[in-house]
Amino acid sequence: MSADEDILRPKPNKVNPENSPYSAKFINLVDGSKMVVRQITREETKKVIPLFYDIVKINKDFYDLVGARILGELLAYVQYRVQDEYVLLGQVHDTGEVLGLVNGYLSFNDPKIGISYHTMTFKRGLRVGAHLFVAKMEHHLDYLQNDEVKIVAESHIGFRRWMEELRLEENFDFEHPVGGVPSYNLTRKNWESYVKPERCFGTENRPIPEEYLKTVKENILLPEDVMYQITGTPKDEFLKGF
Amino acid sequence: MRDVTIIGAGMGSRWGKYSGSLIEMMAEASLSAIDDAGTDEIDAVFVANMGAGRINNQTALGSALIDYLNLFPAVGASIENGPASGATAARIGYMAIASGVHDVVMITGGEKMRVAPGPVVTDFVATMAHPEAEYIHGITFPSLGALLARLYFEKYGVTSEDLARIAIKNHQNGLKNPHAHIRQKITMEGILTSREAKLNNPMIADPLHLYDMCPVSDGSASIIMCSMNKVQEFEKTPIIKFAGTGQGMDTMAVHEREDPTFLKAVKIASDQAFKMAGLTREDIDFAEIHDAFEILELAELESAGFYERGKAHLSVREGETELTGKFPVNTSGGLKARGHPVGATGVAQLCELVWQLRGEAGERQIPNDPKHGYAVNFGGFGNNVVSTILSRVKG
Repeated sequence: MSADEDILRPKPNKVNPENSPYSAKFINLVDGSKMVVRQITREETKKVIPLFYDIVKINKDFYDLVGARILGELLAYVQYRVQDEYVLLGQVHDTGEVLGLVNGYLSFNDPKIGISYHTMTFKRGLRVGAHLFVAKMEHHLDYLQNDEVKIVAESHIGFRRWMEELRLEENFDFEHPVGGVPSYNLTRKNWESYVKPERCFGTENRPIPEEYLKTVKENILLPEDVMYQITGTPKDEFLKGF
Repeated sequence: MRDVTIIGAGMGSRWGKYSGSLIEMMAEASLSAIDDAGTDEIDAVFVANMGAGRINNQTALGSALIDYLNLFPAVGASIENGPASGATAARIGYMAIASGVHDVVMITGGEKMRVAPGPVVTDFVATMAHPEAEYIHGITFPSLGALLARLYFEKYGVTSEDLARIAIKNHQNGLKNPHAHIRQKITMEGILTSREAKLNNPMIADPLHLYDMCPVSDGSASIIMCSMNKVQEFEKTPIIKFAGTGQGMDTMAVHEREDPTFLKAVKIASDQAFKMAGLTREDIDFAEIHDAFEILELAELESAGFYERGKAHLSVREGETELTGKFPVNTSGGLKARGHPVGATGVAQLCELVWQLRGEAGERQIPNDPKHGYAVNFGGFGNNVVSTILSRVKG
């Protein structure tokens, strides 16, 4: 590592996603499938990055904006330009299809503060985002030992799902790194009294069967109908416009 | 009175969220029905819609659609009867042709609801409730559905599992309908019996969960009706006869009904339709039921006379109402999966009846050459109901 790189690359906090990784679990979805939720490595993240090349073209429900931001965050993660970032994927246990992604990082100033980056769902109508977001909170509160997580939303759907359904507290004095806007807080008290007991699922499904893990590691791909799922237009037809 | 037929049926692009205008969306369905009928020589256009004036800031839809499609010199009007607007418009179309006023009438239903936030749509739908006895006290339609479900649970032993069975069936049918808003497989484990079901299928209005209710949809559907003595001109076979129509009323306020679990307006409308068609319940091969809430599928089947009171859920448990069952119900996916753009629903039900009777329903085609189909379009919370029977009479 060069001297410059030594300065540019963030020094991990004492507790960080590398030494306190999220323990994979699976969640039963409405269609009977099982979604494996797991933390992925930098090498695996390199395979996820190209999945966003078409997503950023979708000018609907903020997929372009959020997709572009996630793309930047993933590039920053694999190139060590974010403090203690992690990426969780939700994948179908027997195909590896990526149903959604969540990510976040830890504060350098105060390791007790977690910063939520983004949540994106590739298959809609299965409550994938709701499950994955709570898994992200589980990671921050139960694994990374944060006491609170700072959260914002770009989309109206996100606002309803997180701020309203999870009863987040306003923390408008805190300028969130995503967009520089006033933040909301998920506190440990809210986590332990409401979100964890009422909204966190799949915790009993640990450890996940080895064959599930093997499948999802070997197959990191978007659902074939992702473009249709989101836009209502088949992929080939949608991409003709670009 | 002249006999009336349906010579064209069409639906717009997949229901759900439509990016164009309301009129564009209705034009898509209309053109599809016109193509199917093979004629655009239409005398009158009746547009079924409940809330464009409120949600889309547009009124006079009959005029707008005729102008958009250049159907002059056709005349037209908008018909509003809540969620029963579609079948009401078809009933008026029937009257117009049967009476000899018009020969060819197009009925197009459309609603573009997803431009409004959820609470606004819930409030919009609630305006159908009794203004002084219900609406001002905050009643919503999910809460009325929940009250009905609770009564059914206590009186007849219906359970959440029974409602889930209906939702699973209708989703399964919706998977086979290219027009359906919701094309999503669901399982009992996923929506009810697993621990995760609490989040997958949250309680909306106790005892109704998310999957016990229809979605809010954009969508359009259209049919072309024609007098029987003119139908030969179009060489359209099989001939689908508009065999029966009936309309029934009940009190607006649900609590004023002697027995809220019995939908009197459904019975009145159905009895009229059967009498006009000269058929019995046993003659009907399949039905499209207005399942805005899954409990209504049971209540309407019973009130229409297809099952004894309090017994329909037992037939659901036996699989009788599935696509391959003895009496398939909501082969289209129903409101639960096809969706419920309120003004379009009643017309879409008739499209499904036409396609099934013609043998053109694709993957969801029911077997054994169906000859008679029944539909019930439920307005308000059962205060204004239209039932329709279509029959294949030739071909």
